[in-house]
Amino acid sequence: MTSPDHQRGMLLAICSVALVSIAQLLLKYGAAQFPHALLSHVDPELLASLFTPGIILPLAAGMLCYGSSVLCWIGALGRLPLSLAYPLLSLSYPLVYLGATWLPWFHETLNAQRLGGIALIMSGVALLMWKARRLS
Amino acid sequence: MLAYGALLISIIFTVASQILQKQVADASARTTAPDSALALYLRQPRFWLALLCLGVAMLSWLLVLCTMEVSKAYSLLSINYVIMLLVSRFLFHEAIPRSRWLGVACLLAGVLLIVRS
Repeated sequence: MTSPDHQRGMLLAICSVALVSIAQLLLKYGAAQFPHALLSHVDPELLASLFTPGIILPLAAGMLCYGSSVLCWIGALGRLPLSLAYPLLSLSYPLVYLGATWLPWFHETLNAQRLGGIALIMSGVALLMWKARRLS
Repeated sequence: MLAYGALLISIIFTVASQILQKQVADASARTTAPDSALALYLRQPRFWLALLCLGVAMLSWLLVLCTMEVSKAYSLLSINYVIMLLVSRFLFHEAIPRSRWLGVACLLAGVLLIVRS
């Protein structure tokens, strides 16, 4: 049975999944360009070097996508049973994985063990939310 | 090791934010005020506190992404489901059905595979 409320919840959940996946890839793209010296010591010059368009723009875009995904998620949670909402959200694990291995900017390698891990995590999330009702 | 420490901090603040988000969603659903959902969220202090927690989680997450592959790090964030279950059990005293503990075991097996990949 699909009510308009349910359909709206599905749409919001799908938007949330897409936005959070794009957000992670943008954040990784920005963070990958941090100077590695920042991990051992912090000085003003290093911090100032973070404020270049190549770093700030992907980070800002990533955070914007992330914030929008949270808003969609809060909307979806009130309209869908948790047993549907969370397994839907866990689709973002393979999505981020595919993005990081297939898109030309990331150079991460396809790895069967990691894929197996993602499959186990998704099954775990589905089991966790088995028969769980909506929040409100 | 620094990356895993930063990951843990990020997960703890994400969980704190999710608890606040749940309270915001509950309060918004209960209200009869004729406002848009967004206006209802923005008026609740807990919404802003949830955002602050997300901000801390975000800064620490960027440190993780600095050195760890995103295809590895992002999947490891799923540990927050396990912490949420423990929070429901021991903080909110909810009864946890056996299928959920099985789910946690399954999820942790996946996390272990990914950590070692």
